[in-house]
Amino acid sequence: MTVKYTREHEWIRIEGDTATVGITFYAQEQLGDVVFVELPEADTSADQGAEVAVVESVKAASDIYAPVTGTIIESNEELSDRPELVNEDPENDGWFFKMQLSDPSELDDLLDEADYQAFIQEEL
Amino acid sequence: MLWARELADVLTALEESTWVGLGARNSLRLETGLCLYGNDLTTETTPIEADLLWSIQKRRRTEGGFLGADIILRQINEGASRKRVGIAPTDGRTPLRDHTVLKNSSGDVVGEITSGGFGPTHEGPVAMGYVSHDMSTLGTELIAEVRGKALPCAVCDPIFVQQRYVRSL
Repeated sequence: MTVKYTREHEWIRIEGDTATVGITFYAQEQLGDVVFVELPEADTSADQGAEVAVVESVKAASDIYAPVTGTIIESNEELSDRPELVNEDPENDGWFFKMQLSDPSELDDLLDEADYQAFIQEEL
Repeated sequence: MLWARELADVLTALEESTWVGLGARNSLRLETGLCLYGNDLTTETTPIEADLLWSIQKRRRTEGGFLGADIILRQINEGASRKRVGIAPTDGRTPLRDHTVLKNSSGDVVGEITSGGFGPTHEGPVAMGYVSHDMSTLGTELIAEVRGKALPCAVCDPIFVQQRYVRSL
């Protein structure tokens, strides 16, 4: 199991050819209290970088991008009733959606944890 | 500048106070249905369209004699073509943001959200905007276009939370 990160503050947990995607602890902290999440429908395909979900906090609405190319296979329906899970447990129960990867080589361009931590230090 | 800073230091030293940002100011005023100039009121808006008749003295309403009196007095008597209203999503949870287009069931544009967001005290989405006069009755069903999707919503009272502050001199 590998976890990678994007510069858009998403994490992506890879198990075989399936990836679970959510936003990082840092991202939820920047957003503030999450009040609404719009999730993608299953069986939709998405190119890397495509807008597939929306997260709304008390402050603003932000797009969530597909970190890799693939097909959405499942969304975290729990977030419809409990969007606050994104704040409470962003990197576990607060996951957004799962994807079937089309091109695992795209993962090579993503950040590992150390790179991501360095990246957010630069942003601060 | 020095005075402003000293005043801020005095105020924030109080136990009951803390710094807040524009977001907090915006959600608080939206929940109580207060207009933000530039968003909900512009040089193109009349007080009648904005549902702010209370802001015009009774004497002025009959005598006129102020800038815009021609149009405003006519609107007092005959009504305005559009009106400011509250808008609530039927699902009770999708926030409607500024500039969201509002349509009727036939798909014609009938208005626009001018301010919208989430109300922490209301514990739900809060929004206000302008709709054509015939769509401004409380409960009128509308369609908001949110990210290319049609979201059912309805006209509601723009006061989502009653003001409880006390005016004193």
